[in-house]
Amino acid sequence: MKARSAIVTPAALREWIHRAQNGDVESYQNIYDSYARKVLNFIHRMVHSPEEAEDLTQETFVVVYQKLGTLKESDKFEPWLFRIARNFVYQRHRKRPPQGVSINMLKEEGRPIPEIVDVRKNPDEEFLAEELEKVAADAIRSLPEKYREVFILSALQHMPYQEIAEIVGRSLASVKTDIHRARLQVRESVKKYLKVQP
Amino acid sequence: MKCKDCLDNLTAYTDRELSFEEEARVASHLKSCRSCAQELKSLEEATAMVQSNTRELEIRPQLWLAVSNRISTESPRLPVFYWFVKAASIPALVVALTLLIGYLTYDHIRKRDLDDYISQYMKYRETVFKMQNVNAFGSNPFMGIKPGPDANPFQSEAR
Repeated sequence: MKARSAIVTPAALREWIHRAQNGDVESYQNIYDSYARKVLNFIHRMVHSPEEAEDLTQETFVVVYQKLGTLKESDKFEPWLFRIARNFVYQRHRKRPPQGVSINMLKEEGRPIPEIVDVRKNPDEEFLAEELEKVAADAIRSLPEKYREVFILSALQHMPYQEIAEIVGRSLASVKTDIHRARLQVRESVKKYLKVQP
Repeated sequence: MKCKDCLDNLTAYTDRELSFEEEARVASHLKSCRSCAQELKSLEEATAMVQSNTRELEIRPQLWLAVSNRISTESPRLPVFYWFVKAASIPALVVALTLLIGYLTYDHIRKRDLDDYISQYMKYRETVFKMQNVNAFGSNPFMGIKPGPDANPFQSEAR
């Protein structure tokens, strides 16, 4: 199994959850600091809108705080958290028509996008990188929701299959099959850019 | 292992999600099957390409401010049964204590009444016993005398 990207020990998480359940906001902030980025990026890749991703991340962490008292096992926190985030994506995003706006289009519209520092300087490299980013984003976006969520959680969030099964509420065998099919579809979308052809 | 079984497990193999035995079987097949090995490489390359070219959003400080503003006015909600138990605990304790005191009082009174009854009953029995003894030993002068054959004038007629 792969290591989780959230840098938090189970003992520390258990302690934070226990304190936050008793109303300690500082402990809840520790939990937020450990998981907010993962949740934001999961939602962003599902809805393709940074603003809506931030909005839904905010909603997720408010509801998680309110419902923290109902969490019985602290080691199930991460699947529980992502299940809430996923529910927000499905409940709220489906009410709106699909926007179909890529990161590049947002850039053109001049809307502010928080992003990582880009160390690429060469214009050709930059152009190629932008193109590859668009191809990768389109490959993810073109996946059906069922495959997209498991692809994001497995390939980009590096979650174990068992946790993914808990988040999406499907069997482990079904999730394993969906992840494989999602990877095949993604490969089909990016095959023009691969050195090793299938 | 057949190629189809190997291909179905390739993604789980790259994600290290197979059991030790399954992983060994896939690895062994990949060593001997060029086509499946090629398929594995292209799948890994495609996934790596998407991973390395996917932009990550950073968390803005305003997001926590918005969350903390909304949660600062309330405590986490505990399960409904917790509040039910908490809300019902004091009245339930009062009722339980009242019932206990009531039962102990009732039991005490019942025992006292029973003692009184037994005591009165014993006195009554003693009185009855004394009266029976008096009747048996002398106070009735006709006690022990059997009626004679002529005592009943109709008895002889019947005979």
